[in-house]
Order: sequence, then C-alpha cells, then structure tokens
Amino acid sequence: MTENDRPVIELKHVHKHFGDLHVLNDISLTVKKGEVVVIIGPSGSGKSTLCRAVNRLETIDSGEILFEGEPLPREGRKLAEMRARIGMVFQSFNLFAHRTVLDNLTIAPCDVLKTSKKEARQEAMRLLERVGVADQANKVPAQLSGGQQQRAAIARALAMHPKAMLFDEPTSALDPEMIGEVLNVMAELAKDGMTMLIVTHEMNFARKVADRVVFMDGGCIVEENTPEAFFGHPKSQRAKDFLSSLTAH
Amino acid sequence: MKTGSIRDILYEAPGPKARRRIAWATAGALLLLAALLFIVVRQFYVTGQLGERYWAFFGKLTTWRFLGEGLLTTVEAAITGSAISFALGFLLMRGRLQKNRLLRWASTGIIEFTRGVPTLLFIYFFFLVVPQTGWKLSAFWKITLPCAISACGVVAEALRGGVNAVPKGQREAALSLGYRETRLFYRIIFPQAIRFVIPSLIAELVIVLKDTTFASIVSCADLMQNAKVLISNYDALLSIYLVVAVIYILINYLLNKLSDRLARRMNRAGAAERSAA
Ligand SMILES: Nc1ncnc2c1ncn2[C@@H]1O[C@H](COP(=O)(O)OP(=O)(O)OP(=O)(O)O)[C@@H](O)[C@H]1O
Ligand SMILES: [Mg+2]
Repeated sequence: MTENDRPVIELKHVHKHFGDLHVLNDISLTVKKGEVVVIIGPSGSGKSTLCRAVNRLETIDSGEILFEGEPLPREGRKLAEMRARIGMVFQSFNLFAHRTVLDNLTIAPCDVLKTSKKEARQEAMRLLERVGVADQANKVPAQLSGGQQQRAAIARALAMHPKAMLFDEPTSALDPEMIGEVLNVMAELAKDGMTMLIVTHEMNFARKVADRVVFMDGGCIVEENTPEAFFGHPKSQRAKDFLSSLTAH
Repeated sequence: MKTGSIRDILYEAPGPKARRRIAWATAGALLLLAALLFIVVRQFYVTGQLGERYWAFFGKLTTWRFLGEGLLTTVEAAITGSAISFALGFLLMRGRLQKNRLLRWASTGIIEFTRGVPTLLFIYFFFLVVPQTGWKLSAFWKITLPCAISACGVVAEALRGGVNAVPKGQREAALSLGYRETRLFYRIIFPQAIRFVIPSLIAELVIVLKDTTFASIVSCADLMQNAKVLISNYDALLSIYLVVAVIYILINYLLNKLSDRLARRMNRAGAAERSAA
C-alpha cells in the first residue's frame, strides 16, 4: 500500500514566466505510482509548459519539482540520467527522421543505457509488436501514417524503461480515424500500471482512463478531481464554461 | 522518404500545352546556340585561328601528358583544399554554436573575415608575406592553403544552416531520452544536417577548384599554369584556352552531377541502408 502511495512526480509551488506572461502560477501537483493524471484546459493555459517542465525541457523560475523523491538536477549528466527515466511523447511525434523505426527504438538504449545492440533489437521488436507497428520496423518514419508514427514514438519512449510517461497532446496532430489507435495503446499502458501525466483534449479518454483530472486556466490549477466528479459536477465557473464550450461544437 | 528530388516538389509535371511551349523554347535556344557557334567558328576561320599550327600539337602525346600532369595537380589541390576547408569549416561551425561567448565570437569573427576577403589576397599573403616569416612552403601548399582558408567560412555557414534546418523537435526528443549535447549533436543533429548541405558543399568544392587557377601566381604547376607554358611554347593562345576551358567545364559538370546523385541517394535510401548494416 505504501509502495503505491509513493509520489513519482511532485510539483511544489512552481512558478514560471515568459516575459510578462505568468504561464505557471503556483502549481502544486502530485502523481503517484501507477496513477493516470489528465490535464485539460483552454489553449494557452500552460498545459504544455507544465508537462515540459517535468523533464526540464522548460526551466522554472521558482518552486520545486521532484521525480521519485529527488529534485530535478539542473544540468549535466545527472539531468540526462533523470530524463532517461521519464518517457515523453510529443504532439508532432519527433521520431528521428534519418533512422528507421527500429533504429529509433534502439539508438537511445544503445547510446545512453549502453544496452547491447542485440538485446536492444529484441526489446525493440517486442515493443513494436505491442503497439502494432512491427511490420513497419524497417521503414523510415516519413513512410508511416501519423498514427503509426505516434505509436512508434510511444514504443521509443518505452524502450528506455521509463518510470513515468509524459504525453503532450499526443493525438492533436492526427487525422480523426487514427486517434483511436493511439488512445488504445495509451489505455493499455495505463492498465499495465504505468504512471502517466497526459495533456489532451480527448474528454472521453479522460473520463475512461484518468484517475484524476486537472483543469488549468491562465497558468493556475483551477480544479482537480476524479473524472466522474469533474465532468459530472464541475465546481468552478471557468470549468463549466470550458466544458460547455467543448460540447457546443 | 517518399518525396523525390527538390525539382519534383518545386515544379508540377508539365501539361500538354506547357510541354509544347517547352519544345518551342528548346528549339529556339538550340538555333540560337548554333548561330553563335557558327559566328565564333567563322571568326576563328577569318582570323586564321583554325590554322593547322594552332592545333597540330594536340596530336602529340607530350602535350596531353603535360596538360594531364597539370590537371592532376589541380585536382589534388582542389581535393586537399576542400578537405581542409571542410575540416576548418566544421570546427568554426561548432565554435559558432557554442554557449561559450568567447568561442562564439572568435568563430564568428574568423568566419566573417574569411568570407569577406577575396581569395587572391590570401594567395598573395601566402606568396609574399609567409615566406618572409621563414616558413618554407612548397608551391602546392602556397595555393592550396589560401584556397582552403578562403572557403572555410562559407563552409561553416553552410553547415550551420544545415544544423539550424533540423527541426527543434528532434533535439527535444533526444534530450527527453537522456542524450547529452555532444552525443546528441553527432548522433541525431549532424547526420540530418549534412544531408541538407551536400549540394552547397559540392558547390563550394567547385569554387575551390576554380580558385586554384590562381596557382600560376605562386608558380605551382597546375592545369592553368601548364596551359600558359604551352601557350608561350606554341604561341597559340585561343586554341589552348578553349581546350582548357572545356576541361574545367567538364569537371565541374561532373561534380554537379555527383552532387545531384548524392543528394538523391541520401534522401531516399540513407536510413534504410544504415539499419541493414
Ligand atoms: N517559448 C515561449 N516563449 C514565450 N511564450 C511562450 C513560449 N512557449 C509558450 N509561450 C506562451 O505561454 C502560454 C502557455 O503556453 P502552453 O504551450 O503551455 O499552453 P497550452 O496550454 O499547452 O496551450 P495549447 O492547448 O494551445 O497547446 C501561451 O500563451 C504561449 O503563447
Ligand atoms: Mg500545448
């Protein structure tokens, strides 16, 4: 029980500015082991910035971010080692364009974790199998559909055996018919107990998969609740407005 | 990649009307070229440049061997000079992209300096100034080094352009996987950047090759210098210059073909090949 209550990602009073813009305003958030937390909110509310701050792709002005109980190192080898334990999936996939799909999964384990080539390949094929793109292993990313690329990108992150996964709008760049295949892979991951922090506009997915929903607006966390409570009875006016704006179109 | 050459992206396949227009334009251009050639040859004939004494020595093996030796030196100088300029250019590009301000400024200064100064000035520097310092250089290096230095700034900027053209997401993805800057550059960024700049690098090779024609200044026996010797031996200016020009054009044409080939191959098969290896 105590094992599962351990916080994996912890933000304490985090502030960040872009010039005059207060993008993160006193953000405190905890994601426990095996928990799936979904962040929603209007465009420009700071969701991506929050997500990227967790592996320090964005620096913060003040406050504290802990991963598995340790503060995020500021730079150098320590930071790289910490990042290697946090998987990240981007809106635009960002698969390495000059490498095959298979290489995309083996290159980081070989370079960073010093896994043997053979072992990395076996693991890579297993993961590609799992996300359903094993038959595309020897193609270049540009030859894959968006949905296949994103599933390969998830597999690439998993190849590092991350302790948590960050998703920044993983389906926003996809054609509608491909969104489902990516969400299915993510739901599987959640079921297998992966700790996940997900920024998404897919409300049905949030309702089904999330343990908790965090609603952000104007750089603040306005509301945080279980999906049932949040979608059933949003407390704040801003959340109500946001939800009704979604159903409006 | 699915896309073909840049040409395919920039131009639509021509329709029937466009194709007819292209055919007419081609015919017109050919006619014009033929007319021009006629005028030139006629002028040669009138002024007696077609006379046997201006061309007979091209039948001799020694002439060609002499030109061949010059050509070999030219090619050697061009390849060595390019190799040096690529190496220097790479270092300068790395310097200009460093966080360290001193390194960045120094690199930027050298890049701008070498880009701004004409090759000829560097050659005169190596010809007139360097020997006075007691540094003894052979004629070959007196032409190769200044050509290399003159090109390295342009090479650095071309490489930097390639590096900046790699989408930012590639870097972020690698960082998120635990890469650190140096390895990230060599494994992820540079292999992609080099593909963007192969054509400009080959174009730079052509410029270095052309710059080596100044070799006669430092009396290095390159193609141009040997041609000049032939000219004074046989008192035949036009015919020899014509032949030498054709040789230079041929080499540069071949280089451009090579550049197209390389660019296409790298785009298409690069990744697949590497994974098979
Ligand atoms: N590098 C930057 N420099 C300056 N401003 C930035 C930068 N990145 C983001 N911003 C601004 O910060 C605000 C929050 O950005 P962020 O990307 O976190 O929003 P978001 O909630 O993810 O929005 P979206 O749903 O559109 O992705 C926006 O107003 C954005 O314009
Ligand atoms: Mg965003």
